[in-house]
Amino acid sequence: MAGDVRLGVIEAVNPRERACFSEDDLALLKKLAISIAIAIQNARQFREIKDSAQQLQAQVSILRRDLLRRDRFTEMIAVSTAMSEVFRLMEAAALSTIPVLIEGETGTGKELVARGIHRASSRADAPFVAINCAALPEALLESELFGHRRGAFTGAIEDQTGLFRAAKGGVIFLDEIGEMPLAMQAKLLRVIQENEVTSIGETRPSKVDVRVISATNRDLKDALATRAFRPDLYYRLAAFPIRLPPLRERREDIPFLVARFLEQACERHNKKLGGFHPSAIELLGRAKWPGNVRELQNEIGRAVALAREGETLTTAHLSLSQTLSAEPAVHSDGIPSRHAQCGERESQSPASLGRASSLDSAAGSKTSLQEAREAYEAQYISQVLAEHDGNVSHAAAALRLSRVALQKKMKRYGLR
Amino acid sequence: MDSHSSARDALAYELGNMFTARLGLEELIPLVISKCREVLDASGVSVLLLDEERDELYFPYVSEENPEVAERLSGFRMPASAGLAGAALRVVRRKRWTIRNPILASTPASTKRRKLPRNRCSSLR
Repeated sequence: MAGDVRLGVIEAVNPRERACFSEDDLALLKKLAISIAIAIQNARQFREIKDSAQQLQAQVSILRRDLLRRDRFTEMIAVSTAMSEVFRLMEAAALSTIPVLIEGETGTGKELVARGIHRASSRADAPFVAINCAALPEALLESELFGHRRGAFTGAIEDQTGLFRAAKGGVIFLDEIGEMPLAMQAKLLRVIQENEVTSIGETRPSKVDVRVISATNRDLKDALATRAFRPDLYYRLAAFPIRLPPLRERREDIPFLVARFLEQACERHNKKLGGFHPSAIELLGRAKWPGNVRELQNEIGRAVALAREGETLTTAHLSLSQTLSAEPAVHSDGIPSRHAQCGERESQSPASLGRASSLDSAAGSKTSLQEAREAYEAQYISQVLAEHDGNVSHAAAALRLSRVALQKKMKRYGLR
Repeated sequence: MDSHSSARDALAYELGNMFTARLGLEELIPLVISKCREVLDASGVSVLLLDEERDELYFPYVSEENPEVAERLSGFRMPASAGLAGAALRVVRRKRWTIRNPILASTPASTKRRKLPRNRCSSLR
């Protein structure tokens, strides 16, 4: 017994070379029985604790996975079809361990995608280490990636592990891989092929278990043609390519991104604002956004910084350069942008960029004649304005309109 | 206290420490059986644990080279009231603390035993 709990029975039978057990034997067994009972009770409690620890660990893993999945969706805001495909690819990449190459223009969120893959993968508990390959000169990049031994070169005053070793069991994210010098590409290829890293000043390589996710805003196939990028490395890195669409190909997401960035900027600037005026949102939805999501984020940050407490953000709060780069109030398929804000799919067909195609697709989408005419008018005015570097007088002359008439139309369509 | 008695106390203390240091039943029970056999110079020692829900006694650990016998023994259960072990348990139930009142059978060899192959750990036939 342990306390009031009956545990069982210990039975000793058949003493050797004597008729029965002695009183001493009995006394000893009594003493041992106490220890045995305690030990059995301890072992049972230990097993219970171990079982519950395992259950808790499993629950934590499930909750963490759910949380990460939710995080991924909150961090990357998208409702567009183009981004749905990206999410699908991310999920597939997370289940695998092969290298991923993320291609996309600057500011499209390549690092967010890489982090999302890492968080949703089995390596989520291991480190995610990011480095911009364009930010460092070759010698420094090698030292950063692979590490160095003390005294390996002038200034190497102490050992450095290197990012490949620091990312042990996790992911290393090589941003702007297209800018990596050729000599470094050869060294990186060896690391990926052999899973071995040799620090500067070391002769023996050491094994590393790191998943490589790289990103580029260049077309690496062009770089292959000009021999600026090694084909063997390219095909290693691009085992699982993911192309991120530029913001202009996912305009449906802009209103949602605007809402998120506005909330973040207000929190950062400790301001309470009345939100965006619809005309400002429309204007944001039309812009070209060569800097993509990052540019949109900065634009909103700037607008919030300019706004006074409680003010509603209008086109006046948006930067001049932004409005100058504004596109007409239509999408490539000829549908006015307010439709896109409701989540309609945007055509990405190059043919639809043509004027005739715009009209065709507008007719196909059953847009009213009035809307189609306005869409076309806005597009045409914007194009003429761009041709005259935003000069209203010259554009008005080209359009054979008075300056005032053009300004009215520009105001109506939210141009400049 | 004579030297024999203090040596036995020291032995009990040492074994007690050894037992309580084991955290897994699968490790503890074989150790208990082998040490008890050794110090009591008994040909058989068995540990039976009580399954309160089913009111049965069972072997928590079986070490047997013959897998068929091992399987039979590992699944072997008996009513908590049966045999010498059951008698001991009844005393536990009645007195609530049997360790101070163990059953000392004067003729254990004459106890009717089940027809089971010898188990290395339990020494039961």
